[in-house]
Amino acid sequence: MKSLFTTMLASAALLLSGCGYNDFQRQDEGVTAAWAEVLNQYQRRAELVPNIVATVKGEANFEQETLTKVVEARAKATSIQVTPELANNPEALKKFQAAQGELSGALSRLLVVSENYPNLKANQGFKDLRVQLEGTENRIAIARKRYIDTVRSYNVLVREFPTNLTAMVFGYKPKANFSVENEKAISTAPTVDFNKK
Amino acid sequence: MRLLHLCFALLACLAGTLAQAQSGVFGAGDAELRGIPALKARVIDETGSISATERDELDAKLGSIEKLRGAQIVILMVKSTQPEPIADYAHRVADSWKLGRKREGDGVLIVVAKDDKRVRIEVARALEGAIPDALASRIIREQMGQRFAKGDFNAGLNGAVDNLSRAIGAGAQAASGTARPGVPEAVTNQYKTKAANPEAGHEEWLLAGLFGLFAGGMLLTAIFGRVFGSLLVGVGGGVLAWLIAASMLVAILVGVLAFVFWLVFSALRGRGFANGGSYGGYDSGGGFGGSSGGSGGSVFSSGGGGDFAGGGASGSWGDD
Repeated sequence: MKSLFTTMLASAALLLSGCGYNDFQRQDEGVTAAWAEVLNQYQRRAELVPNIVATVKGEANFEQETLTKVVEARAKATSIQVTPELANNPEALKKFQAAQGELSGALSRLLVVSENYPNLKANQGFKDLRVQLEGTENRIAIARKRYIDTVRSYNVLVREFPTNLTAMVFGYKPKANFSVENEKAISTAPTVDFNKK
Repeated sequence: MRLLHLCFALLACLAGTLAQAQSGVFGAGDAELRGIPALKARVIDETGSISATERDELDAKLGSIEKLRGAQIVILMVKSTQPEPIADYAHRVADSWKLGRKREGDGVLIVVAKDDKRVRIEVARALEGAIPDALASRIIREQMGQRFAKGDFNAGLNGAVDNLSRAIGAGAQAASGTARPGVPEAVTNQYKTKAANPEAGHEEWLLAGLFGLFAGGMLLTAIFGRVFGSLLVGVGGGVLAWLIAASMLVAILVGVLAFVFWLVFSALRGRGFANGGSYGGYDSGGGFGGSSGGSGGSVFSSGGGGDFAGGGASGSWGDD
């Protein structure tokens, strides 16, 4: 009886001092904010695409296939209903990620192909759009990195002792994160064969 | 039942070790990257591309811009950012320095990688409106590119800084409508609302409640004695938990825990209280103002408010 009491005392003290209830709240907010930022930057890119497409279309005989791919990838990426809850659904997150990755690939291909068109390269409007796109890709990368970091630290909190006890009591689950293999696929630029005209 | 407990404990241990191993792996990856230099001046030249007088003049110019507009601009010149691309390195540095005033977060970092022939203007979020990426890119192309190619780093940097300062001024003016340059305080007030202010809501209440419980607990224990005081604290904690979590189970659990905790806490504190209110481990210090660092003296220090989310542009010189 006495040992039970001691155990209870010890665990109670442990739980309250290190239970991390506040940490959960803070980090959960952090994850939500980081996710909102990721969505925000993807949205920003999606809004940029029509301008780029319009400018590129002005260039006569631009490789149609590349252009179509960008338009299609954008349509696909924006067709996914983005909600904050998406982050809690690993399947949906994977789909979302794949669609955005496709758009990334299509866009970087477009940029590489545009190098072959001197008029386009000299076009001030296109130059600015290009810079904006680069900036947006950069922002996406940073937003994703921050999201990955915040989710990682949240998940550690969920799993780590003794905060995992709190997580059990309140039913907090590890959150879905951007997967690493996908990360690699996205961050490596697609190779373009210049000989194939 | 016992076995279950054992399994559970083992699992918890495993999770803890895994988490540690994971962070260990992540830590190892950083080791190869270039270090971040100490922020000791507005102009840090590790390449010796500009003379000492030029550097001091540039530093003074950046200082007067900070006085006039409030924004902090810092120039960092390194030999190379390899193995990282300049954008990654610049962001890492900016993220660690957090240039810009605490509330406004208005900072700009110019990174020149001499041997890579790359330059980047990294813009904090608060200034992304005043210095859009396209403008940053244009400044790189028109002000720095050709001059850097000729080896005239001083002229290139001065031109870039002048343009950035003008853009920041114009941006602040546009944001506030009527304000004139020269009244930075009024101008920058506009940014204050923008500065990231995470909404606490629940948490604030919880903190207030906990604080109240703590203070009330001391009083109650003093009046009613340890056991009964602790009981009251337990009830208070339970009510608080019920209000927040809206679940009776949680409330009872928290209440019991609060009671037990307070009982132990007040027993432990009993001795400490006698010797003149020096709360043993409670003033570990350094909670506040830890990161602000050198506020005294003439040494330049970052305002610590800049949130760099990838704004700005990169460029190169030499080829085009």
